[in-house]
Amino acid sequence: MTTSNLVFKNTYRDSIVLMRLSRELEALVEVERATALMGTPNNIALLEGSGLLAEGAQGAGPNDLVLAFQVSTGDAEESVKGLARELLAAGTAVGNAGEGYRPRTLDGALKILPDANIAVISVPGEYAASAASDALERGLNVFLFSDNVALEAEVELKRRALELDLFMLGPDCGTTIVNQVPLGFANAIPSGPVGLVSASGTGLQQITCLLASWGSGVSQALGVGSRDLDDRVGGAMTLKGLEVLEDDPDTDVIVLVSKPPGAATADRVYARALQCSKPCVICFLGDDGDRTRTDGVFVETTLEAAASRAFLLAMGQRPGDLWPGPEQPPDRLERLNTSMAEDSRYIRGLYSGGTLCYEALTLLRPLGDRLNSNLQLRGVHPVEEGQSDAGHVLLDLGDDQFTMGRPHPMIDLGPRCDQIVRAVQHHDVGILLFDVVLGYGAHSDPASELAPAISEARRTAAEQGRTLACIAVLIGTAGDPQGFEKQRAELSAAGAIVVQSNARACAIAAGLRNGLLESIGHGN
Amino acid sequence: MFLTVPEVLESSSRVYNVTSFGAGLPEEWPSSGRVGEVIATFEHSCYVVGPTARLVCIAGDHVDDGPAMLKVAFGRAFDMEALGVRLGMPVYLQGGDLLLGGHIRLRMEGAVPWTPPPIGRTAPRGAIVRCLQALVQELIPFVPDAGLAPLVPHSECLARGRHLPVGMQSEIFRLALPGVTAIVNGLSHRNERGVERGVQSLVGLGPGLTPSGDDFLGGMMVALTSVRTDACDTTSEAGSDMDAMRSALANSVRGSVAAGTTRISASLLSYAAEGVASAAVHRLVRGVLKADTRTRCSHVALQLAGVGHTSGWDCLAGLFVGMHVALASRRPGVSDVPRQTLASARAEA
Repeated sequence: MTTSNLVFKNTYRDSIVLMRLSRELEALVEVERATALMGTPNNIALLEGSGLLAEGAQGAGPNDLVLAFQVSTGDAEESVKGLARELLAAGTAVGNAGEGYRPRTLDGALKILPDANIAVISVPGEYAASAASDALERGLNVFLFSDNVALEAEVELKRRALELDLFMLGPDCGTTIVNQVPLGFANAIPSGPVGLVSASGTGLQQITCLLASWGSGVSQALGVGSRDLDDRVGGAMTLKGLEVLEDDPDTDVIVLVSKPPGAATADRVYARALQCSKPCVICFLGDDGDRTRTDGVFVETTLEAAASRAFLLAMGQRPGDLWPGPEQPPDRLERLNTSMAEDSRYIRGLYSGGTLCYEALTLLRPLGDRLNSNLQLRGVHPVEEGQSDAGHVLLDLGDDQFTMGRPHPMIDLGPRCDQIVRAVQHHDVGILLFDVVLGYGAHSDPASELAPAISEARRTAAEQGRTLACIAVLIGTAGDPQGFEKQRAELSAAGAIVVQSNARACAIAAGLRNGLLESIGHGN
Repeated sequence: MFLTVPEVLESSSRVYNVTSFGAGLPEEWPSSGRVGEVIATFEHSCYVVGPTARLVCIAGDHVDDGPAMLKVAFGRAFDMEALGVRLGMPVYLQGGDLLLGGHIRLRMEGAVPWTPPPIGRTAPRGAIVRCLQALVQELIPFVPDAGLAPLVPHSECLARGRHLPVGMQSEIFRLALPGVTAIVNGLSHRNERGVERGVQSLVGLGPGLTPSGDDFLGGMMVALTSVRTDACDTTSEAGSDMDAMRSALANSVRGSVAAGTTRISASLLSYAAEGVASAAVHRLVRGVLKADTRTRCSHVALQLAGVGHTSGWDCLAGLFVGMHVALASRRPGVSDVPRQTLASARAEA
């Protein structure tokens, strides 16, 4: 073992550079130990006590940088010294700074990835705005997964992002696909000519998965955060996304998606879409604005319709029909319909995200029954905890009241399984409606948890002499890590009716509710 | 004697606006002529040494304010090397502006002098202690095993003189702990000699451009000064004793830094000895002394912790230990231990 010191007179380097230099050297096979310290008396004593002091450091002063290391053989000494001189001359250490180094600050991360152009932020909401602001000020676009961020903070962040010509995607942005790279919850989607800007994560996932299943794909799919079309935010990132996709040579058709938007903002976005040089498909769920199709702008009321329109515009042909398919053979529905008691046909919707729940509420509103939900929508009654709610109950289990302190329901299926099993205790509930979202970031095998819950709920209902229809909206693609076909097969085997579109699922639910299967149409 | 400004500097090609500066900095400079030279350059900052031992740090305006900072609106993606700043480059003062070499003018007009904002009325002592305890609890999951960061969770125990088990901490930690203990005991028992022993073992100890021991001492001195200005629960006798011990600590540090640590760290410690540090340190101290909501204090503390590799955490350790020592000393009846000064200790010897 050979101990060696290098002294660099009057040389200052910041702490992180010194630490990375030490780790770069220690990562070498020949080096047993290495450290870089300023040559203060106490540090010289430290080196001596550690057995790292050699002749080379004699005479080093407090303003001198001392590099001390031990090599397994004397032959390696000069080559290690040479490498150390190179690394120091380079200013910052190259490479990954050694195994196990994880930067604790944004600046530290940028030293490792100086060309980074987006920061993905997922921290508790009380810290999120500050973290996002730091990233923007360093010239980074931001994907902010965090929710529980004050609206005022969101307004300010997006204002600043526009000033800096950056994207501020979020807060509460669950899904984005940028240059084919999925961020957050997203699916394996092939590239294609459709660009999306969506203030809805599951809405984005529904449309992109349908496009993929029909043989198309997306250029970009930008999630902008669930409140972007709130009138106080003004659609800041939606409008920016529209502008960017208009200029994007890989985008032929633009789809804009949101849960119920602010009226003024919806008007502003619609007006901008009318000026767009590319065809735009707008799906603002629950929007009561009087907007009709005009040249180049297509207004659709369901996610499936929006996806279908975009496919038609981009590919020049209608998409393949999702109906009928092996997942809902007509005779199966007929059997369910005839076996369900009239007083046992209320719908219990258990959704992992707000968008599909909103869509379901808007599609079931024409039934004329009482609708209850934890989401706010005209004509929908608020759910009271512990109170028996007559009528249909549709819950967004991704809402803050259910997720505070818990993982997202797309990751943690426990609460939804509990809800499925408990729903059957209500004797007037005969139809369960729920989404199963695949893709990156989601549960690795949702069917393995949901299928037993479905089986148990159906068994309980049967023991009570009732029929329970379970309708699963399976959102995913063949390329998703969970295995689309495996998930479909397992859910079907448990007795669920598996469809790929929430609109279709709601149509089936409505048909069973009314006992009129003829009302379940083919497409829109 | 100062060199006259060469005529070539009259036509500096690039002008940048200084946005803010440590309020005491101009006192370190001559009225015109050569201020000093660049002794260290980093990616986004450089240090200039002038006629006194104190350095000036010239940096982009995205950094935090501080007593040695001169913040400049260089723009978002600037780089000192790309700007042409080099080691040994002379720095001049001309017409109220700073000139770096022959081609960079830093316009001082409109720049805002910075001093730590006054704390004003503070929360009651008990509320401050609880705020400090809660803050430490919030930070525990983030504490790294590096530098003196492991002191953070034990800051109150240390301040009360309780023995800390030395487990699997780093060598720096094990070497520093006796010095920290000596200082704490010295402050608590009015033993200046103990304080000086502790300071000598900590100054210049540890990795980093500002060694861990220095950052700890800096945080401690700011804490002792800040709690000194606390308007609550004071007893004049306890207060004057702690003032004396704070001065003893500051004097020991001043006496040790010249030969004991880097120029940059010595300069920062000279400010800390007067109770002045970066704006983030003062924001945190203010928050604690006003028993601010836990979230805001922990947010500021984590920002501070992100400075350097361990500098931020080392400073936090010093702040927390110092605050606990100062708060404990302000209880009535604490000052009944006779104070041993260096002079009396030498006389005994």
